[in-house]
Amino acid sequence: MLGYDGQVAFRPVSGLSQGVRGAVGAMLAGESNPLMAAEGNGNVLYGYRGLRVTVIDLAGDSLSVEADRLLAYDAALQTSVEVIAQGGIKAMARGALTGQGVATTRVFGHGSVVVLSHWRVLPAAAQRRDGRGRPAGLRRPHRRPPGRPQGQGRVPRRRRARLGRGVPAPRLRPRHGLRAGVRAEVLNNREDPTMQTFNADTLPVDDNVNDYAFSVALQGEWFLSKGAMIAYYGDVGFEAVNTYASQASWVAARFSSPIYVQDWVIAHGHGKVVVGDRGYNINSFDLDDGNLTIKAGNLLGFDPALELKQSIVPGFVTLIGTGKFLASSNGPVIFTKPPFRADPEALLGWADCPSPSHHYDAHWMTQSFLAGVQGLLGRESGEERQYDFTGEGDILLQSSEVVREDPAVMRLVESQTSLLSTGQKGILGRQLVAQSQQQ
Amino acid sequence: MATLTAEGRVLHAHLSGDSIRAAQGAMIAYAGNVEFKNAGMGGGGGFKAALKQKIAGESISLMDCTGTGLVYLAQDAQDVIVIDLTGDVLTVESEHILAVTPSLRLDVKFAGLQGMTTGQGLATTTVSGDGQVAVTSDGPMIGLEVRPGMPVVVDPDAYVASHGRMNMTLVSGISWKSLIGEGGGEPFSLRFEGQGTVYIQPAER
Repeated sequence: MLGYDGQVAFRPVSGLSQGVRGAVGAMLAGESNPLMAAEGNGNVLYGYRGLRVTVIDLAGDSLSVEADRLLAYDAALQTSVEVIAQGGIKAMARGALTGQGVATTRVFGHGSVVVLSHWRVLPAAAQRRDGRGRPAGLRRPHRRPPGRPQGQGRVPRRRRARLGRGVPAPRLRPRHGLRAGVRAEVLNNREDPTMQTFNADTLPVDDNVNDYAFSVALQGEWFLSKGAMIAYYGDVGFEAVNTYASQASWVAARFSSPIYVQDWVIAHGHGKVVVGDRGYNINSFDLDDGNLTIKAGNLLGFDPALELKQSIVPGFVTLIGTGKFLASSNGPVIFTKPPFRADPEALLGWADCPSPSHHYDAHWMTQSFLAGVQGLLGRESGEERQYDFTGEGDILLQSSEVVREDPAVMRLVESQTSLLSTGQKGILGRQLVAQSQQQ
Repeated sequence: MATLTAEGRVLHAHLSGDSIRAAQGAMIAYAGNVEFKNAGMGGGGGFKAALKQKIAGESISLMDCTGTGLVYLAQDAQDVIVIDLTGDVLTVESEHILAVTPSLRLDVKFAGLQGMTTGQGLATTTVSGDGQVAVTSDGPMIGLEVRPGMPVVVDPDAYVASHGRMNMTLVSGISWKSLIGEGGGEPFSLRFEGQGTVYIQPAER
């Protein structure tokens, strides 16, 4: 779950909901997938590691799917675990070799199933001879922008121009702030990006090279996250922020976060710098006399016209002023509006709205006595902790619940342990040891 | 004549009674009559190649795909492109080779010092001859042209392949400041000068 609006409650679902036989079958087959149920009214956004999503409609027929590729399905559908290795020991061994267990999950009934894939689903592998590409029922996900909830109680909003759109070619991107992340004028077919060759003159000026790389036309200074540079042309130098302070103190002074300063460098000189990050989508944003708070690990670079400060929320930094910055996201950025509750891992940042508060969703624990006992014993739906946004502004989400280890968060927490007494420190230490042994 | 065509992240290898060499375990599906077997020592290059690879740490495990039909190849959902070689030489990191047509020759080139710093081993693989080679990259590959007077510097972890007449040097970002823990963040970079093209991927290994 990436986030939701409206009234939605989450509760964990065990294999027991399919009966004892289902649970035993799932356990034997190694085809288990912890699920949670979402109930209520509202829009819930789901995503996983920036993977592609395909919706398959079932009308009484069944679909076999690997459990770890199953993102969500209609509660009206039924599932069962199917052992595919029916040819005895030999086939079982063969099945086990695929690393997928010897079973698949079968979904049947009337409703929609959402499956994940690294790239688009390839029905062509079966080489249908009738010429029809897609199997019946397979369709693309809706392209409706998720940011417009149909929920009630929406207040009319003032036009925000705070978070400006990226340049150049602003007309191509009517939505605020969000860069398509791709130069639509060059790459018309997102499905099959072809390789292009550039040189120092043909590399785009402050624009995306493709979805996953951005070219900064450097004239002076830029702040860059360490390791974000993947190539450059021209006369460019990289200097630690503190070291650069001796040459141009005003530039270094724009960076006021002692915790993050050692992870950043100043690129200076003239040339073109290509920026990339783990193959993630790179988006550029123009901030126009505004403020934006973003997950520190996803911020890759910014114009020294902007000022960076550390956010109150751990692991986030705030940019203030007017200028351009670059951020990476696992999958395209999703824009939503408050009121909205976001998964802390999927949250990329927010602009112009007040800092979020924590929301703990433990509703399911109160529903029955048994659930209450399970809650006490530490059972979780995995979605109890959420960030609650209210007020005016924009919320940025990424379709990922995988967080990069941020060394600065540890420094931050460590620096706050000075608030603890000696006894409390001991308790915390023991808890941390227990936690790390569990994982 | 076997032909390779890339479609996004999947490589289609059309075989007509001949064979290609592909990275082991890269087959995701096939149609027709195709046999897969280990290409043997040194990725089919024989004993000398195997020995060289052993020394260089530039390991490459290939399989022979022989027969008639269509083989779908893919690796870790990485993007695939096909580069046509006409008698020239492509230098490529061995882990990025997905498939080669049989007429091409794979060899190991000792690259000297810069391999040590990238963790990529001491050497890179060269592909030469007439034919097609399929190269994978984490995210779509970007070609960067190098001309006299227009050198390019790339992150060794983003470097995938290069071809042309180029001189590769190691740029070190280490200065006395690095010794007290405040480096420029890009400790080593590869600088290419001359005439040719450098291919990079938008992700660090």
